Amino acid sequence: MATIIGFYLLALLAIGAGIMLVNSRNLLHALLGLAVASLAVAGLMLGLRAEFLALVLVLIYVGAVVVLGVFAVMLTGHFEKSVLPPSNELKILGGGTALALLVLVTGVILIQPLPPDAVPAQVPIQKLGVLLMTDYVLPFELVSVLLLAVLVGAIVIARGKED
Amino acid sequence: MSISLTHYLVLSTVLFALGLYGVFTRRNAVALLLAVELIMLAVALNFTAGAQFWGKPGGLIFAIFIITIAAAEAAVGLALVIAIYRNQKDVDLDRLTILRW
Amino acid sequence: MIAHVWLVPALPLLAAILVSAAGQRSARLAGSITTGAVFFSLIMALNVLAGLISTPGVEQVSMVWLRSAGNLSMELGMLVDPLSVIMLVIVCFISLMVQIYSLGYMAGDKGITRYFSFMSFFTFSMLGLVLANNLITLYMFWELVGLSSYLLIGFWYHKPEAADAAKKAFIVTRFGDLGFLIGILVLAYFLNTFNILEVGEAVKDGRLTGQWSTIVALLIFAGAAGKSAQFPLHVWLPDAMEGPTPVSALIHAATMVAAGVFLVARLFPVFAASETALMIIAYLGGFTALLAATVACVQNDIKRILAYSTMSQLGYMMMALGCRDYIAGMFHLTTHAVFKALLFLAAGSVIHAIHTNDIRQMGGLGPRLKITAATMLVAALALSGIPPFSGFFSKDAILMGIWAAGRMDLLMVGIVTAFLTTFYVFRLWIVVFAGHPAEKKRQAHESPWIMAIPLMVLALLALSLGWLGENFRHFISASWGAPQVGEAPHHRLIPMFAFLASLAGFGWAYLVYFKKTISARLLARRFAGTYKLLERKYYIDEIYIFLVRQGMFVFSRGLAWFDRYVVDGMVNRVGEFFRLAGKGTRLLQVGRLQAYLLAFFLGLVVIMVSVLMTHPEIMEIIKSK
Repeated sequence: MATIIGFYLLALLAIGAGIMLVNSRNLLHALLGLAVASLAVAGLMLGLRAEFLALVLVLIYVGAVVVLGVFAVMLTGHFEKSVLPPSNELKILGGGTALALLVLVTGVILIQPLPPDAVPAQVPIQKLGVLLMTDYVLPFELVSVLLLAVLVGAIVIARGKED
Repeated sequence: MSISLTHYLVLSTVLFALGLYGVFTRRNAVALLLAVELIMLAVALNFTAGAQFWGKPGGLIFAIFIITIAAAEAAVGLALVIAIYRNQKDVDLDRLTILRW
Repeated sequence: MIAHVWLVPALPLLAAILVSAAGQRSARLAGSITTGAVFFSLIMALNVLAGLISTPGVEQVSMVWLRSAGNLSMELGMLVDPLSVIMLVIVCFISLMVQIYSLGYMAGDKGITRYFSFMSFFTFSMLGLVLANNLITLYMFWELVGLSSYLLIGFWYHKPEAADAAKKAFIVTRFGDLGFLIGILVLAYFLNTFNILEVGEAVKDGRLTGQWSTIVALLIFAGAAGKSAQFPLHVWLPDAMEGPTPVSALIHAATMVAAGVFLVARLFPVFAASETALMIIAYLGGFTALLAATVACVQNDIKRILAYSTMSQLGYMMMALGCRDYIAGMFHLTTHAVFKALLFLAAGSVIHAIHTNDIRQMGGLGPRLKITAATMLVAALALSGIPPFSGFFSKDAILMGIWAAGRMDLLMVGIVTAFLTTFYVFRLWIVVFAGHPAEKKRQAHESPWIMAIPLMVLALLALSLGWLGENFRHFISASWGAPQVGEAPHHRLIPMFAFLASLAGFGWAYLVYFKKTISARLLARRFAGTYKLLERKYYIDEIYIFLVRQGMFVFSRGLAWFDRYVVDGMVNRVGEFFRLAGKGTRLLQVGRLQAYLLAFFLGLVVIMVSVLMTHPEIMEIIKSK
């Protein structure tokens, strides 16, 4: 019972934070929404017994992405200034599309034959590490190259021209 | 009744749709990137739930990749936003028209 | 021997290439090289002639050049028969004489290498023309002689009149050549061959029927009329006198202008197939002969008088051919080539001596230019048809041919023309050489020997060529395509009439210009209208210019309108269509990535919904849950 209540609480929290993220005219509120949504999802992951992923999520999303976002907000001068709201047509069109997609995908999920409700088992970190270094070593290396490129690219782009 | 995979999938779909709505409607580049992050978050949750319920740890690996890529995307995206802001003094997407006809 | 006949045109071509390649360096040698080349060509041509006299026949050497789909092929080849060999000898001989003469006449001219290379090139083209065994080759050389003529008329291109005359000659002949080309193509369309022999056979077999034979003959005659300066395409020839005088002698008196006559003779079976065409040719020839002779009577430019005389004599030849008297036409062509070249060269000698073309500024030159005066007198007598000079025989042959054809009106034209011819040529001779010397002639001096010798050689031939008549007749009648004739038509009175007419012309010229019993000025005043009309050459140039202005320019304006509003209009409409289409589709390209993304997901939604609609079982599953 506690798990059910926990799931719905965290789910509502994540959705609420998500709504704040996409609707708030203050970018700092949006960032807060992202942080809260990340934490909520991390909580859900704990419920799924994927503690390592929850940890990584908190570290990267809350620790890195949100902090980066705060920097971006401050550097682009949106610390106090609120952003422009979308036009009504765009809201209806975008919202309608998103909603239609939601309904359709949910429908697809509902008609799928899914596995029985087994309580998920914890996957030891060691096993993840071994998997990363064996079966998934190629994507792993690709991602590391990607990270290097991003590192260099972000510095070059953000630093701008040498004065 | 307990929490099934379906619950997680529906939840992640909701979060995904929310993020999509943000991407569609946001007029500020920073806000748009944050909405993209929400989409990534939804996908990571999706993968994790699937991996755990089916007992396939490969999904977890992909969740890790997705989180990594989300971070990379945020870094590059926000760097770009800062560079654009330095040039144009503006990050309102409606007004970034230098490459438009 | 026949196999080596290609050397005859090849040598002048080689010389032309050599001289123009050597350029200014060969200035001293240029004349000797080209003259030497044409000398050897002449020897070779005479060799062929001798061979053909001993063993008459028609031979052709040919190779296929281009073969088109179907069995129509273009050849490069040579047709050797009495007609082409006679022409070969004439061309080589006149070219040799003129080039020797030019060594003196053109000495010191800055463009002398250019001059001799063009002369040699012309000789090559003309020889190629007379040797051609098929219409395509013939047409190619036909255009090449036109080009050489253009280059040589405009030799002194810094003179605007010369440049204009060159253009005029080129453009006017082009009208005729267009007809010629169309004629060739129509002929090939009907007969499926370009080969002259095959064309002749096919026409004889009657494969060209009805009015097509007339149309083809007249189209080809258009080319001949253009080259031979027959009315109405004659206007270029008098202007062509702007070229150097030896050029006029070679091209515009002896050879190229005779190419039209040669063409009619060469393709005689085609013309013979249509009585109408022959009649038109005969009457146009007669008309030209009379028209040109009348104009020649009042001109004052020595070369223009001769140019009109050439036109008139070519008209004579056309008349002969039109009356089916092939032999007389070719005979007159031969004798005319000699005496008219002589007249021009003698005129050149006079011009060389006193540096003017205007006969009114000449007079009393006889004692100073003895050789010139004597040789020109021979030529004048030959042109007038006074026996025993060569013109007498050939002109009488033509007149009798006309009589034999039963065209009494043309016979009258011929006799009147003979009268006028004698009048204008003696007017010329008397005004230039007789009478009292005017101021200018004191420093006049006889031309150098290098110019005098060709004059004397030509005079000798002009004197003697006529005696060849019967031999010539016998020889040329073996030509391919020559009509079968029996005895030469003979009429005792016609030569008498012609002779009397000539004598009358001479007498009148004598009275007016030598004795001055009748004042030329008074005559001119008395018949002022006629005089003016003749002096302005019947205003034909003016009429042409008027027609071009009124006709062509209006037509061009119509075409310009069509081009601007229909052709361009179509292009513009197409452009406009795409511009508008672009303008419309541009609205879709808002340039906002988010809009594209939105469209992308909308598309996804549409696809998913449509899959759902078309697969009702999915709905069943959802309902069952």
